[in-house]
Amino acid sequence: MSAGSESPAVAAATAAAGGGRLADALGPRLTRRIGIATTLPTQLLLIFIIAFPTLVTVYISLTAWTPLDGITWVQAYTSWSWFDNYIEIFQDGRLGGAILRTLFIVAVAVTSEFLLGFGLALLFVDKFAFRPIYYSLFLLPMMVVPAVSGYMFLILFQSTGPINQLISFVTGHPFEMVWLTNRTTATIAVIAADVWQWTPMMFLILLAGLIGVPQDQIKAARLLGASWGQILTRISLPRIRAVIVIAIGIRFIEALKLFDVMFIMTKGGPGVATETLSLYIYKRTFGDLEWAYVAAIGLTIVIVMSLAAIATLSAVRRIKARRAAAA
Amino acid sequence: MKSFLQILLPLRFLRHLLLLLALFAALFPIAWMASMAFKPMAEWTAASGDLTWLPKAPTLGNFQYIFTGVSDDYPSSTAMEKTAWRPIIASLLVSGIGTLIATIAGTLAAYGFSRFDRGRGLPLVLAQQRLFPPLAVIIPVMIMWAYLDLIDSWWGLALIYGIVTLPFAFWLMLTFLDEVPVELEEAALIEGARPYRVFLRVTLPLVKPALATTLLFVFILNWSDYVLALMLTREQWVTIPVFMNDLNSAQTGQLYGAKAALGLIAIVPPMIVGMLIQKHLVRGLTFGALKQ
Amino acid sequence: MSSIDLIGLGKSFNAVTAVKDLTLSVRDKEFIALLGPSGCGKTTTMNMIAGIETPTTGEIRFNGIDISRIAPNRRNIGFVFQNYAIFTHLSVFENLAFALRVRRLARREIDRRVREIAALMQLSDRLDWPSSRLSVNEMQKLAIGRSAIAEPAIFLLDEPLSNVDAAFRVFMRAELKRIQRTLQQTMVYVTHDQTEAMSLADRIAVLDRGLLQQFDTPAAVYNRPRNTFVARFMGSPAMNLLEGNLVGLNGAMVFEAGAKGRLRLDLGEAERLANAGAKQRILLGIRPEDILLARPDAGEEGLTLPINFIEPIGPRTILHLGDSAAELKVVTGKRVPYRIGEAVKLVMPAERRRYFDPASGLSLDAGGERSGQHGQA
Repeated sequence: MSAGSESPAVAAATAAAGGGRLADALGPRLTRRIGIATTLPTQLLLIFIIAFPTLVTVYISLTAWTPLDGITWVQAYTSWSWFDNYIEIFQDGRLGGAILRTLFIVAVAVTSEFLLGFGLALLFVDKFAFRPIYYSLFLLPMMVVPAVSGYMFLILFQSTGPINQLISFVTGHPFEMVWLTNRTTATIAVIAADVWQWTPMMFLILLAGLIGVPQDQIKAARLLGASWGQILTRISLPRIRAVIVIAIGIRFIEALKLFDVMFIMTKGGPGVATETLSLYIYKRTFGDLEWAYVAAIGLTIVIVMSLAAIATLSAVRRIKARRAAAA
Repeated sequence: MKSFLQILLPLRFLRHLLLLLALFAALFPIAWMASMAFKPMAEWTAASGDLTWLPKAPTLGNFQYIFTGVSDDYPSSTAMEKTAWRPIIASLLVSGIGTLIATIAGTLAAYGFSRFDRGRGLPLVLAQQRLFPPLAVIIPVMIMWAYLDLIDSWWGLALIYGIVTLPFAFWLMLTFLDEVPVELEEAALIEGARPYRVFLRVTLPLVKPALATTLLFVFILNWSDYVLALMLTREQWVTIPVFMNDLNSAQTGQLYGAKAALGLIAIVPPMIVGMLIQKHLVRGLTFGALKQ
Repeated sequence: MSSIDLIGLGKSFNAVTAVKDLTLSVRDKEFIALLGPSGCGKTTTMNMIAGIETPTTGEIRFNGIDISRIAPNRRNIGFVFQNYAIFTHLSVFENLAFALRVRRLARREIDRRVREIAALMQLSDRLDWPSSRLSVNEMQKLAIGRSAIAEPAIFLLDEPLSNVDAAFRVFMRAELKRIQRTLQQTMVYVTHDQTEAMSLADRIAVLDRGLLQQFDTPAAVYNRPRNTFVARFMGSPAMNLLEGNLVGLNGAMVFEAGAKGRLRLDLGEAERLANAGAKQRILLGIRPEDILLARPDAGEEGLTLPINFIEPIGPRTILHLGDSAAELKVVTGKRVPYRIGEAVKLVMPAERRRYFDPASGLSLDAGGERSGQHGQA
């Protein structure tokens, strides 16, 4: 890129300073300074939000402190309890239940979103009248503030609400289910709200992937004798495998954080029927005020998810390396 | 050439049928809420037996309530002191400032990463930040905020909003910046321009649409937040979603009409913004892994 | 048997007409080229033969059977795209095997035929490679092999050699002919390169803006162009076209070109032009390589123009002649003892002269080929 008129020493220093695309034009010292300056605000913010909270969390989690004790958190050491909280995590049936429930709801919701989103994407792949308008309209549910969609579905699922009315209309019989006080139907209602809101995201991503399949290859396959089904399975799907993984992966992770809609619609009820992990944590935090225990849970979650992420990334890297080596 | 679903007439009809059904499902809840926003109390309280789709007697009573605290349509027992004005302003202000914080820090960092190979751990750390449920990590944040006297303050909420959406701003601007050829900046630098001038006068104009997209995208995210506002505000700086919780009365229970009215107002900005940045949604949602 | 008949074929996209009233017949096992500049409709025509586009008007017949209702995947044609459209996510083997896999042939059969085709295309040692790793030349061979394996009777190629390097292009031309003869296929070859068309095709269909200009053997298209478009399109440099007047002088017909001079037409020419109803204004056409150079004061009859520019291209030289702009070009292999600015006499042998009507552009050489829409050579 540059005129190549630097001495080897300068070049080495530039490389040591971290190189980068503009390093040649600026020289090593300036590159370093600017590099630091631009990334500094972000790094400061990150340190701010990571360093102190982590220390606090670790500290508190090793005690039995709650705000009810009347002392500030700094003095939490007075109720030091070592790893009692962590042991309690493994013995906490309600936590286990919440985790399982979360996994179940997320699995059902994400699968439904994928299937519906994919089906919708297939409908959209070729041009048809008004396609752009349909497209824009289908994106709307995703833009709705989740809390508001929580209220929307709360209203919709009322026993005198429109969903019951629609079902009555379709089946011909009056249908007066009280959705949110029945364990099964409450779960269904909550899943429905999530599917409604996030199917468009799956649709969006999968459609982008499908359209990315080169038209020429589809034409070539067709002329080689393939039927549409064969084109789908032999050309399109293999090519968008990566996209599918990304879409499902991202949606899965976001879904695990489920809170807004559930809080507004059921608050975890009836009983603990729809109590997901986030709701459980909320109740222990603001209901029981057991902050030390919640801190331990939080830290455990962070560690577990980080390990899972690292494991996934290295697995991906291994697969890529194997593929490159085979070629 | 024939399409995925053959152009045979019945199948083309089937496609449109499916699409219309899906469209109905997609728009119905929003339409219902919009309709409810204009329904008088008589039509949305639990007591009313017969639910109608369009308001029989459309009224602005719900809107009156959220903006003035009282409504001709509501019993006087429902009168509330607070109105929706403050939460609306709070949402605008906090989301706006939070967006600016995230975008400025994120863009700078993305520039540093893209052009100067600095902050190599950033993409991963920032992505990792999005892994954890906010509730799992909220306690230390609350403690910290309380300690710094940031609870129930607009700058406190704006700050956490900025931090939490920073990853999106960073990743989005990074993918855009990587697409801008570096030759122009190089040429300017070689001619002796100072680096910060190059950034301001060469780079930024080139990524103006990208910047706009990022600002709008992050704004939607901040505007839609519920948990953080729930935790970190009390009275003064409640945002719209949190304020909706307060729209209850002892006698009549949840004031659905009022919630619908406020909800309707709340979803208009993100919907408009979303339409504007449609083209780049895939890029934002997948952290740049895919483009549209 | 695999002849192709295009009958009154037409294709319009909204207001734009890509192909208009195209009628030609390709014989079984014939190699024809669809030749013309971009936008002339050649690719659209080919897409219609393949079934990728549906005709707006007209019919397409294979062996006399109307195939317009048959889906593209059932027409049993081979198609090679300009950018190959290789299935980059599949190996070379799988690319070749694709056509057989979708027909659900037995594994052993597929294996045998893939290896056969790979040998024919010289890709045998690349079979396990990911197809994205191939060089451009190899991809091209893969594209051809992939289509050939299903043994289609008709093979369509859309400018397949435009992306490969020049040396390979020459090699592949010979290879393509060889493959066509080996596999006994009818081939339709789209190109904008008239050299390529001349060297490969049994007959050439020249198209311009959706209309067929001439459909004839390469020699006929080159030597007896049917109109000025074909005359200018074929040959590099293009045929010279000179405006002038036909006048009678001393009992003979003369081509009068102002200050440049005049040429006496011989009896045969005069007769042909009279029969064709030639008007006074006329276009004289002659190929640059057919013109002979002479000193301005030499005795032979010719037109005299000053030299504008001399372009040596290796063994040959192109002379650009004219006053302000180049009006004529001459290509000669001999030494050029003239300089820029000097006037030269251009001798144009009668048997190489062609005439066109300036208004319609049509050839006036009625005694020559009446080749055209129905391609009888």
